[in-house]
Amino acid sequence: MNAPLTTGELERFRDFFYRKTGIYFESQKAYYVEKRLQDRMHALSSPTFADYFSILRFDPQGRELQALVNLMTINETYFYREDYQFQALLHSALAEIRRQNQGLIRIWTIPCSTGEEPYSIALHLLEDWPEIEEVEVEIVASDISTEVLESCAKGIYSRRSVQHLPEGVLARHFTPLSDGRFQISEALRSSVSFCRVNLVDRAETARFRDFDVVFCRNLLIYFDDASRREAAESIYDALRPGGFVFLGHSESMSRISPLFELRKLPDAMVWQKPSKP
Amino acid sequence: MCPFKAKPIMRELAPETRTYERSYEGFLAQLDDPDPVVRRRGARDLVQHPESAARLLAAFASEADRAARDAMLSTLVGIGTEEAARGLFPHLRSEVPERRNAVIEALASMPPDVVAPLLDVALADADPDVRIFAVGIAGQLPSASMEQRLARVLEDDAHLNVVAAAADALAELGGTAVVSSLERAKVRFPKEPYLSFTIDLALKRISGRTG
Repeated sequence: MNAPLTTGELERFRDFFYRKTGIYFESQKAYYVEKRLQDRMHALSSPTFADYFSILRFDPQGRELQALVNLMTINETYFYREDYQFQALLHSALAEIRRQNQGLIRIWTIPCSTGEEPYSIALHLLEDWPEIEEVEVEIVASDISTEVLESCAKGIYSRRSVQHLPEGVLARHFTPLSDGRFQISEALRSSVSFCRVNLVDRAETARFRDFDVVFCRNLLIYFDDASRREAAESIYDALRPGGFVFLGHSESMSRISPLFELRKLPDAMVWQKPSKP
Repeated sequence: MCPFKAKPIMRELAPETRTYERSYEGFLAQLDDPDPVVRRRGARDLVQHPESAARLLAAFASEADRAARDAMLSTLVGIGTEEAARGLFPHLRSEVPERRNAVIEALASMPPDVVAPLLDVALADADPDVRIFAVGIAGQLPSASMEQRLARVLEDDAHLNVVAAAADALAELGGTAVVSSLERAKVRFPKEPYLSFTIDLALKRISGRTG
């Protein structure tokens, strides 16, 4: 077991991590951060923080930073996560989109992980957006992992995953299974199109065009600077002029690309592709 | 009845409409198209062609559209060669802050071993503004040698603002090895309270980090 980290070492790490990822850990997160740092130091047999920090900073491939980012940002996803963003979609973004586009509204979620995010959007549209009766909406959900896409198609979730859904929503759109899990309705499962894509592969993303909204939450923090730029370029090309981007709460497009404008909607801050170049 | 429109994805996602061939020559030709969207797409497709760096740099220099320009920079970052980096450094002299800042960000995202030798040239530039921008790049590059480079700036650079920029960068990334360089810089500019303040802050932060 390594010696506990000093306050100075934790601050040094905090500054470095913030600079690389935009994620800032407040002092009350010190235990959380130190636990994970110690895990990585142990994994690499680094005897001291200085030794580990040197590996972290000067690894030209950024692999160790990536491993640490994964560890620091592990979050089991669930329905209605960061719900204020869905509220911003319903209350502000969709109305603006409809003023510009009277036809089909297209929403892309990437990464969709095991489906909680695209299905949350679908549920909110059905439950809380009366205009869904007259507006066609298409939801495309993508991930780099084919394994999670298969899971999306099955639409089976643990009680923990659905715990933030109102009881009525759960009752109307899910079927309880004998093992205690819940399966989302066939109608909703067939309403979302799932497809694999690597967001930083230009050839793969070239087919994704004419979206009004992109949800890309908690993905860019996993990338290095060059890949983050590439991902931002792909999102830009995927959007129609005036289209909206929803990022994770700790992410900011301004540190990645100058292409988007910050919009402060009543429920959330979002990024927007300018209507005119 | 579910009101969503669900379609087989491969049918829905139509292939990109193109009037140019999907070839190296086709992508290069797109850089000269009057439509900035086409120029942008051509630039993005060139990421698989490091040999296009010179053409991209030339296109970037004259590109008026921000999105097309950004795609050219991202592709140059993706190419990441010495030629690509070298061609970007002259833009540190640009009078347009947006273009200059975009280039600084791009260079800071490129491989440190490629950028470092070119950075040394910029840090020795006669124009202090160029040196300040070079310090900004050094402060962002993930390489152990940047700390030493910035310490040399503290020791040798004659311009107050360049030294202050280096002290500021070291406040974030410096370790005990640069403490003596910071103290010497303070002695070199004894009548500059702003620099003293910046250096004291850097020393305090380094001391807080290193115990």
